[in-house]
Amino acid sequence: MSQSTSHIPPRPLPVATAETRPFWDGAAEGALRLRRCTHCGRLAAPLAPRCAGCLGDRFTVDTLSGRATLKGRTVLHLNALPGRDGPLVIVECAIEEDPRIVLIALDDSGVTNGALPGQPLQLGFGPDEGGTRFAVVLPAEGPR
Amino acid sequence: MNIVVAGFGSSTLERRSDRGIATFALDAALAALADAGIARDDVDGYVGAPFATNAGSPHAEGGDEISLKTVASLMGLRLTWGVDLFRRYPTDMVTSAAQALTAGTCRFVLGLRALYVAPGLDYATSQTGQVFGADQFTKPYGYTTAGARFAARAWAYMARHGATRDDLFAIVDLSRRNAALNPQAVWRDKPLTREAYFAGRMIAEPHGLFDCDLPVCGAQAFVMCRAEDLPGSAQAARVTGFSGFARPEALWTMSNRSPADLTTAQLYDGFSTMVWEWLDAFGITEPGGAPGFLRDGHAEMGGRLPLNTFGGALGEGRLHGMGHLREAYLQTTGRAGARQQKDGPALVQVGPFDDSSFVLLEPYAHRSGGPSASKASL
Repeated sequence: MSQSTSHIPPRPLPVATAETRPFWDGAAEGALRLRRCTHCGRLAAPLAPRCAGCLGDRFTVDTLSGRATLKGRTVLHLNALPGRDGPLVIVECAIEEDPRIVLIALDDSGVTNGALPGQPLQLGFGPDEGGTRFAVVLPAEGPR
Repeated sequence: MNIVVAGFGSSTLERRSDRGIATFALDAALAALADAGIARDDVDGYVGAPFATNAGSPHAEGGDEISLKTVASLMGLRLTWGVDLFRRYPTDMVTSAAQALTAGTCRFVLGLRALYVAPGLDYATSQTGQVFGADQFTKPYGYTTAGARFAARAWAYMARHGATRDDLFAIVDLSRRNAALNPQAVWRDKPLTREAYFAGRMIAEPHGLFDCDLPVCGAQAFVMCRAEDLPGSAQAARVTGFSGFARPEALWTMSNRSPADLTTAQLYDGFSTMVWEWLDAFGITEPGGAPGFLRDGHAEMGGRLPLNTFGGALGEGRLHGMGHLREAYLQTTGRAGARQQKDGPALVQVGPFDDSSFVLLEPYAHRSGGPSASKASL
């Protein structure tokens, strides 16, 4: 018996603000983009109103490598995202350019099965879902 | 500082109830006033922390939350000072009350926290049309559901330090055995075998069903005052220290104590693995040493540092730290009955690894020669 997919609710969709729009605009193009402080050079987490180091408020937008390491991981067995089959593999990715910045992603491909903390990962973005592409992890690329 | 907790009260704790949250709240408040030996009209200060933390909460006043305004109205309180602390913990309630009392703002502060399991809500879902603020980076991934972020952290801790789910069972088992001695614990008559623990369904790995505290309908309340205002019938615990998590050393500086002085610790356990955090962070154990501390029996009653002697939230029910505070009060006033440990500083820690606060309670009589007439244990 096939299951109807017509009434699967979409994933919660982000309502971007000026601070987070560079991230989501980058995601739509499949690129990891974060703001970098023009004063001290530190990267800013997507939500940060100001640089966490010097509290500066001027940024450029950098496209990053997407390289990251595995900080934390859980397999969630509750039906948190209706319409998705099976458990969710949720991972915390510490980005290579500044591991203080941790982004959450799903592992839909099993690359973190049996992984240990610190394993290299590649952060990317999945298919368009309601106009947004969400973070996913992929196998790490090439020599590091 | 000369501030004391003068009494504590609890409602019944129930998994579901036909009665509303306000009934539980007033049951707890009146029990606390009676325990402290004061009348409703003596109360001139109030501190609450009404936030319902469930993902599916409607945040309905008198539904699953109850705030100062409603409590004061329903009880006929005439307050000179009162606050509700947004998304804060019972430890912060004690801190705020102590500061108001120290400033002379009021004489008797009622502190109240009520929780309620609203029927028909889905605790698990991250389903919502749009997500704002921090949620936009977490909810679309299920990361806010069922403590996924604590589970992810526990996974890394276990991988790094070689802990296993048997170490989680050790925490849950301790909680259930201690809860057996706590007459109001939801799990008081429910010992848990290792087999039953491992048979419990997974929630967010490594946490299974029994690693999660149980939502309840219930409320607990305390009365605080300056020591010189302590009613003759009341049993007092002195507040000797408090601090926030970013400067935990302030707790020891203020109290002139160290972790080695503790005789009990009530550590927040919304999920079992959370009890490891501050054992390591306070240096009670070496980094990564907390699971071994539990496995070796040092957290047992009569052990080096008895933990969550009332059963914790895992054994008593989810009261977001009020149960932890109440147990520290009972231990320091000699009223913990079959759970009673030796006299001394009692640590209360409430909150997660990245947002906790601490209170230290100590026996009143020891430092002040105050009254120590016996009173029924709870």
